[in-house]
Amino acid sequence: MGWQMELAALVGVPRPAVPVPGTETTTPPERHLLRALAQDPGTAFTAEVRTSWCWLRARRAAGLTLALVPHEQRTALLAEWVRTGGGASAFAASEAEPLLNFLAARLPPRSHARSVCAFELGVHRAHGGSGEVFASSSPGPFARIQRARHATHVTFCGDPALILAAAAGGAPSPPRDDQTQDLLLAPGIVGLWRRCDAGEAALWTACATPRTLSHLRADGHDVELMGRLLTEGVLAIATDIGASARGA
Amino acid sequence: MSDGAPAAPAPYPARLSVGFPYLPSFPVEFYACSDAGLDFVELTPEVLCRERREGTTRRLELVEPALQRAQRACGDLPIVVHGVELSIGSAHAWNEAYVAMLDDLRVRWPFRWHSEHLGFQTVPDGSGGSRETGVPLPLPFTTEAADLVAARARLLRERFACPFLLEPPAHYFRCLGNPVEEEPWFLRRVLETSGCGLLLDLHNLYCNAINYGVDPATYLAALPLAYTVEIHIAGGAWKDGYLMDSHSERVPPAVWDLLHQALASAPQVSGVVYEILEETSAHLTPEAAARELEIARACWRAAQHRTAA
Repeated sequence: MGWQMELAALVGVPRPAVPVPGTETTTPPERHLLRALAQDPGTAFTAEVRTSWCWLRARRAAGLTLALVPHEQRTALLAEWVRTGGGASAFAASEAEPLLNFLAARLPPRSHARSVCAFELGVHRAHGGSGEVFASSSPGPFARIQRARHATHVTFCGDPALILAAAAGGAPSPPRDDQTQDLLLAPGIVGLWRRCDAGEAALWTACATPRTLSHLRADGHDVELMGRLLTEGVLAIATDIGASARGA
Repeated sequence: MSDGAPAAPAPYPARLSVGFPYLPSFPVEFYACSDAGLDFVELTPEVLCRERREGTTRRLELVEPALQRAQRACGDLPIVVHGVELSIGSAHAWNEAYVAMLDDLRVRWPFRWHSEHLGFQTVPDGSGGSRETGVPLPLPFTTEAADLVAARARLLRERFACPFLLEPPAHYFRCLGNPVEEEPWFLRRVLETSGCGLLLDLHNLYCNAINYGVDPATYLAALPLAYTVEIHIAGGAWKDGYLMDSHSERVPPAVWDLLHQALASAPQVSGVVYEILEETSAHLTPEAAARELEIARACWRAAQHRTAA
């Protein structure tokens, strides 16, 4: 096990923060081989191959977002991501969420890249909720309603369709617009996402923490709208305090 | 668990002839259309899966729409499985999630045989789970490594009651030893102990020969070819003086020569697959792939005639 850990480290795999029991020691023949591997030009080449595969996986997992990031910044972000262990998973979904969170923390707020990042994250989360059974459209007055865990609300500084088209490579990126437009993403929405109107956005904001239906109605929120968002998986009946979705 | 005694080898599966990987990006008509010269399909099940992680637990779930599309595309063509996520050589643990997923797949879509790579691609992550290395890594040619793999391979052969094959990898490490001298005994020990078969990737062999500086034909002749059930052919690219097993190009003439040699030496082979990787071969059209399959079929038929004569 120790030999494998050392070979992995030689080709660029970050070591665990805490030493793994059983991997601290290697036998004399293993150490001899590892010393030879450290000098072997094939080791450096394998590390390069590894890096190029990690970059490819990262680009595949966050393609739309990275398309809107300027080249130099994109290179720096990917290099940092791979250096810290990212890009190693063969599964796009496993790679996507941590990478998109990593990017979101480093992209300018209210930028198109930041919005598309939240959108891509929302798509992955919505996929994660496929097969879920959604709440009835007619909950009781004391049902506590909150944001569903696989739902996302994204704000764009402009027309989402134009911005996403630019990210997909089909059009120039439009300038930022102070007039924002919102999308909702959820597993029960046909095609996983759609535009969000002002009433829905207000309800989304109101359900950041669980609220009873009667309270929401008293605050002026539309009950039929609540029902629709429940059946789409945008909202959910709270059964577990602290379980909530995220918004951008 | 094996005590190291030789296991009875599984019977050779019925011949399937010429195959190609299932690639979601290829049109479904490529698989169903007999003009492509396809007798079977090689499925990498991970392309049909979603991974879920909860703490240190991993699960691989078959994604229903992806599975159904693949089944529609392949129709009645027999399938074989070629996995990439098992990490059979990882000293700390192999990927149990992959084995569990294969249990599900076997019920949904029976396969004639299955195969995996003879190496490792996970290491411990320090919190009880596994971390992916991001690139497949080879095993040292030691008794310890051979016996670890053989024991696990035998379990898989018994679990799925169909042939399980191991594919020796291409790699770029000179100091793992001369492949002509070191690899044959290692493979023989693994295969004899486990009763498993060999998936002989001729382009991997060619890369290792070129990169190490040995004659490919001599290297091929040294291997335990009697265990070969499946052959992969492929093409790669050069970078920084290394021939890479990128599986991104058409088959070079030298690999076609190796195929002729291999089929002559191993008449029991059940199938030949022209393997390309979707990530690296976007420039290869279905038409180009069909031409390679045509050449592979000609080699196959020539070998069958030689055997019959």
